[in-house]
Amino acid sequence: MAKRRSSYYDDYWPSYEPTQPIEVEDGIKAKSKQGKFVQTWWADRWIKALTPLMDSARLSRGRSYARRGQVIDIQVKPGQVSSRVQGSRPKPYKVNIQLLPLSDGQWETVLDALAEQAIFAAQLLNGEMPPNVEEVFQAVKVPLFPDKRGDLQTDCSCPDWANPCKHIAAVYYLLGERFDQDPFLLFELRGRSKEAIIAALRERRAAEAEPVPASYAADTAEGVEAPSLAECLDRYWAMGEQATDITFTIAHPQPSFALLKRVGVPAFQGLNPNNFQRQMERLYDSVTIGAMAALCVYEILKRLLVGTSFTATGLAQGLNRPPDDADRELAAREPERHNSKLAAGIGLVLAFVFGVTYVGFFAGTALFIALFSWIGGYRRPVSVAIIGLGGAFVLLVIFMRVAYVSLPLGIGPFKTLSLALLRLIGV
Amino acid sequence: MEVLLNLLHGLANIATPVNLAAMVIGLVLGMLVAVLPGLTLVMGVVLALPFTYKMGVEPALILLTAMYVSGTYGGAITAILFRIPGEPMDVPLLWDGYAMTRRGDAALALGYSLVAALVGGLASAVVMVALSKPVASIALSFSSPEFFAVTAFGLVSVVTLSGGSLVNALISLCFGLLIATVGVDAMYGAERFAFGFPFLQDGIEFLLVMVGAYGIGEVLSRLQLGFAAEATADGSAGARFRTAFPKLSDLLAIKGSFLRGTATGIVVGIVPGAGATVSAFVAYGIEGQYGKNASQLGSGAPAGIVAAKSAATASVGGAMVPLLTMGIPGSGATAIILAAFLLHGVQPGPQVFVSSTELIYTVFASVFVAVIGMCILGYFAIRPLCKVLDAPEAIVSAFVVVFCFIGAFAARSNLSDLYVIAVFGLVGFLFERFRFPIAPLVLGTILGPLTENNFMTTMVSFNNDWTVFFTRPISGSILLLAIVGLFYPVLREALRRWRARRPVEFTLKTRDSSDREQHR
Repeated sequence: MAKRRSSYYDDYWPSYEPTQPIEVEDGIKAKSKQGKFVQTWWADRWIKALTPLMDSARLSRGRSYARRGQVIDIQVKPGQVSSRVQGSRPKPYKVNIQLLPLSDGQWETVLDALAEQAIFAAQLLNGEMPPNVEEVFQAVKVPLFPDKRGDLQTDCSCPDWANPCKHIAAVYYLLGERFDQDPFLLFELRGRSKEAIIAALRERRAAEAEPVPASYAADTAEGVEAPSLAECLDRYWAMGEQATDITFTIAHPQPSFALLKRVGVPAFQGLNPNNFQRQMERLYDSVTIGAMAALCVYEILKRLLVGTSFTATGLAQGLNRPPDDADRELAAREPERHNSKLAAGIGLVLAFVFGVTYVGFFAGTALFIALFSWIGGYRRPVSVAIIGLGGAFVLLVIFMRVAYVSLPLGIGPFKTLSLALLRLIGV
Repeated sequence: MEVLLNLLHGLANIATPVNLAAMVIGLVLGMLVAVLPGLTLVMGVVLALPFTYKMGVEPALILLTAMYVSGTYGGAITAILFRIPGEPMDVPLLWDGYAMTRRGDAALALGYSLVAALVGGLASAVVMVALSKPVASIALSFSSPEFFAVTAFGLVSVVTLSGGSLVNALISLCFGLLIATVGVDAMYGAERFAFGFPFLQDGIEFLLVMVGAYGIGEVLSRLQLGFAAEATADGSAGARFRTAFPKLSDLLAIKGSFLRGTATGIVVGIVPGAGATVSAFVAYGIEGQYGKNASQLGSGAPAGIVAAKSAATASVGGAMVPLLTMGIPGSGATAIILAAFLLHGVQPGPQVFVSSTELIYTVFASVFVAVIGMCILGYFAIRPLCKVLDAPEAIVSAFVVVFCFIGAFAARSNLSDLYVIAVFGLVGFLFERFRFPIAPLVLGTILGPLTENNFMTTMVSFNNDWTVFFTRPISGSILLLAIVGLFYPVLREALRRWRARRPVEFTLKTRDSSDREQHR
């Protein structure tokens, strides 16, 4: 029989009591022979999820099926468990249990949260389910364990109209036992294999950890023969020449979101403390993008509603008097722009900035003043030269003689010139 | 009484030869940079800073303060006489001042502006002294949330009070804040945006940004325009180069304009993020709305000169209040004065206000003396100041660039600072060229670290509870004001559109040059 919804018939009609099931040679037998079926809390949690869905008679028969090894095989695929259970009919029944798998996005969130705390990753890798793992899953609104009837879709080909039937229960119990051994199976049911999860955790933990800069790796003195003690007895305690070559670069550690880590988790309600940081990191990005998007939307709406020429202006803008004829004339006349002059000026400024170390303050300044005046339109060669040299000399006196600023001296012949000038003014 | 005594003590401090010399030099330099159209007041103060490195703390502060004060006046002379606004703040003077000159009343126009500067300057100095002590004692009770609120308010107000597009101002501000984050963060030591360059790990000094954007950027902008003077001088003969004082009855007739201008100047000055230029424009706007003879404004009315000029000078006293009592610079010039304080190992703030009373009151006294000295200089030195205009701008600009580099180099003797300046010079030029205001950029780099530190301190001391910013009464109300201030221009514009059917009285103007200048 295919999938059936449980109905009041389940309660009204006594359950169909089958004949003894056909024994299976090498079925999967539960390890627990009596009493508590599973050992760990998470497997227990799993079993408990089934209890309210079934009547106790079917449940106990399912348990005994599991213990007797009526289940032939179990195949776990993401989101789905398919199994064959040997019942009273010759042909084994096909049992199907479906769980809603998490989407990729939900998995990202869950993995982020798992990676967040070292204890989670460590426990998982140790084959244990972290105790508060459920909180992590609450963040994505998908429970790790099935809670409601809709969380678990079950299906059995047996004639029992109750669903879940005892065959389903048997598979379910055996699954619980497997979870005891391997909590990752639970994750696999939700859509991610053990390997994928471990790889993802490793990646996240590694990204979080400080990479050791390559420069820290000590240069080993390979190939250098250590001199014998007798050779260097006299300078054994002295510092070798190489010691001066040792340089230290102290790099600031660059933790991401240092502030968040420092201030910890605020006591807001409704916050999941486990993946708070990841949530905030995501939030930072999305708030930034959201704010920009909001601004764009605002700008578009503004243009549409208020008109294209709308520009809010500062308060000083409105305080001008109405323009008179002279103003209009000025406004109408686009000022002439001398782009070649501008380019030459910028070039000269940059040349000064980068060249002053080489040619020294005096020569650089004299040259700069002369050339800049020339570019600016003051085209009298003699005056320009005098102003440049004189101005540079006066500035040199003021700043090196009076204010004792150590201005660049330049290199080569320029240094000779600078030093001669300094001697002249008595520095 | 104690305040007066302290002030007298400060005056006595100024009377030493060195300090007096610093005062005179500062006054003259301030006038010069104000007169030269290529050199703004802020840039002048920046360029003067390296000369004060080797001075004592008193002459250094006196020189810079005097420069700041007298820089608010010099541009008036050229604006009235030649239609050349030496400073952005003098643009409103073109409308009434130059109109009077065309009528042949140049001397009288100069007289009005001189009296306005004197009244505004002295009145704001008095308010500054009176206000500082109570503000400092309130600020003593401030904790990091309040300081955060004040600095955030300053950041917002520079955007709100800017001249052009609000979006551009915001972009500029955010860029400034971004620059401020470069380097190792003070609280947790995280390295930000250094890209492996050691000189970026130390962060980018706001001084370098200022020198680059204001100094080199401005020079490049004017170079591209071929150093052409903004207007041709066609001053009317006769009354030129002379100041004639208006009759007392005429002055009393426009006492309302004095009052409004001065009050506007002080208030706008106190607001971090706005300085003399904004005060002058705001005061002129207020005069146009509420003045007795508002209709005559723009056609040579003395009230227009008085409102703009008194506000510009009065803003100095206002701007000194947050600087000296809280250590928060509200404008480019005060940021430089703050830098001078810091260079001499003094961190202005409520504690310093109590502990080094003498120094603070010397600065106060220097404002009084500078206002008077400025007026004396403004009365007698018109002719030589106008001669300065004959200096070829190409040569002046060449020296400005060299000064920019020396100034920055002298601060730390670090060659990489020169690269930073050159880069920000280009940035400043591009900002100017494409109408992004520079003031928010600079203020972002100045106030950014302060804002961030106060924010982080709050977060640490209040258990990461960001609501304290809004639940504490003082910081809550300041932040509310900031939020309202940020959205007010948008609402205002929407409202204006909504009412667009009505005849427009105040047309938005589009003139290129002054539009550009207001941003500073």
